[in-house]
Amino acid sequence: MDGADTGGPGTRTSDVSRPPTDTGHDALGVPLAHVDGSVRLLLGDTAAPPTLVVVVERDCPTSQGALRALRHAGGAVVVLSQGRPEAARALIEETETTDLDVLIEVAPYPVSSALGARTVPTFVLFDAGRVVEHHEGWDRAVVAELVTRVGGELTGSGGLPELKPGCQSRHTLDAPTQATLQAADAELGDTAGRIEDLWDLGWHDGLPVVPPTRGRVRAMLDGRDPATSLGPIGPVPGEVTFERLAVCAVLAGCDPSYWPVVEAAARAVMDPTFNAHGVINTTHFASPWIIVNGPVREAIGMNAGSNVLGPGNRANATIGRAVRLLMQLTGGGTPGGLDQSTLGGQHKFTACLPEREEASPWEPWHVTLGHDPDVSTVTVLAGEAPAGINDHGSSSAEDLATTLALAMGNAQVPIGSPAFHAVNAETLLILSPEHATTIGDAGWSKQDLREFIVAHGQGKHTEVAEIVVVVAGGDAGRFSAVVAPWVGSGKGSKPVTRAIVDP
Amino acid sequence: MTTYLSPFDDRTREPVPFATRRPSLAGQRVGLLDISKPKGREFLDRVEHLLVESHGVGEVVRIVKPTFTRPAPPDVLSEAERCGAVLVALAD
Repeated sequence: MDGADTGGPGTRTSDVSRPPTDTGHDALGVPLAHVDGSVRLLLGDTAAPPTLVVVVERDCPTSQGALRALRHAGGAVVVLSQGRPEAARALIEETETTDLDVLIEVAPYPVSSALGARTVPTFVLFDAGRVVEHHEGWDRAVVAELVTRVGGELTGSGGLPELKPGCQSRHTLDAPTQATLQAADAELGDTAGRIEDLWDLGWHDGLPVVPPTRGRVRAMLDGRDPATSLGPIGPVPGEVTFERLAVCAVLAGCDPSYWPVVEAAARAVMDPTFNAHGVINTTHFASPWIIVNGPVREAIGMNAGSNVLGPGNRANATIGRAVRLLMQLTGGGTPGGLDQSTLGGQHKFTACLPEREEASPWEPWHVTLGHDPDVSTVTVLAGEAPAGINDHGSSSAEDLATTLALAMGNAQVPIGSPAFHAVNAETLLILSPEHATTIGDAGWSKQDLREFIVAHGQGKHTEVAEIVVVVAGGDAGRFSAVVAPWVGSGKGSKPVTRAIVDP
Repeated sequence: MTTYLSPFDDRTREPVPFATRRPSLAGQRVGLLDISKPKGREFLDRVEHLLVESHGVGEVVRIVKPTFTRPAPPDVLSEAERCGAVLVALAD
């Protein structure tokens, strides 16, 4: 059904203005579902400042145009969408109005009834919990005046003429017709996208992805300009725009609050020093490891404790995945295509961890590099899958550091191999809190540990700068891990650290 | 299907045509590009010998990329452009 011109229950009528009335007061005590999943009242607070309530229905072209006109108007506007949540989400998607406050009302539509909204759209202006204006249908001049009174400014037309009749409100229909319309709403679920579509398109890494609908991508960008370019990535090369990065973040399952970290990690990976082109193409295991430092870790709910390397935390898991999808899709690093890794690895799905700064006896990694402790940073390092280091036997710092040095010495080619050679590349040591405490309590600094590892790693490393140490993991367990690097000597990839802007 | 925003850079790129195949290498100036992988030089030594002995190649130019991990820099490419044909040794 397609609204005003189609006949049947969707045939809508009038453009009715009525004098101020108090009938709307009955609408204020009914709990309503918000599209964000919460439940609230129409105005939230009956003492609310002037608020414009707009009753709409997804199937009504006038309602759709009205929302398009309102999407950039600002002001205190609350939208009441008639029908199931699928209809509300479809309406938001189709009108690109993710910034509006949208509540959902299902049959028998008591709030629409109490508002006297015989037509959709109906505009009801509340002041201090009382209805002071009521207008049905579209009259641009009237709506512009109402929007002004709630602090906004109507600048667009939403594709509507100056005057356009509305459509019949659902609450005026008989119960069987209401039920039929709601059943049709349920079929709109597809507007949220289908995971199966993404399998067909090939936009995935082998695991299910979140469909990158216009609405989700817009929400991810949160007002940022989608056309902003970050430059090229990968062998294609593909130009990374905010929109494409946001698509990858949506596909990966990121919450929009992760964006500053995703953007910083993407910019770090795209730095020529990191050499994403080579990391994508190589037959080696290499993939970006993303280390997050600073206040943003807590702000977005990252897990630096037990299972820090996964599974279990959305931010840890999806930020790394977003960067990987950027390299694979925008950058053209299709596994088996331009990504020719011999074995690949689980770390190539995602590898992102926050340092557990609070459990470290030393300054965090970004402070070691010279950043302020209150600055949040990402560090990207091209590395292999993590290799476990198990030492429950050493009780002295020197014994334990010997274990760590030998494990670091085994990075890439093991000690004793005829092919053993200096790695000449930054190697990541993920030190568990118990191991870190043993060494820190003995009075060793982080620098002491790094120097010891170089001196006792059988020649695998030659510079202290090659030893990257972060503390992470659960309270219990004398397990650490080493992440071996890719090509060294400055010819392959060097780690890149970037401050996170506006975390 | 629902409309999805694309992660791809969909700009149309002009396909780069293959160079014209040469009927013979006899008398040609042939470049051998060593991408700096281990054992690449030894492999190309043998190729050079075969090209000269068996195919009558006039001149062999040995070109070396500074690292296999990055695309060839402009000076390597311009050196390759002066050859009638170039053979790339991709890996060890």
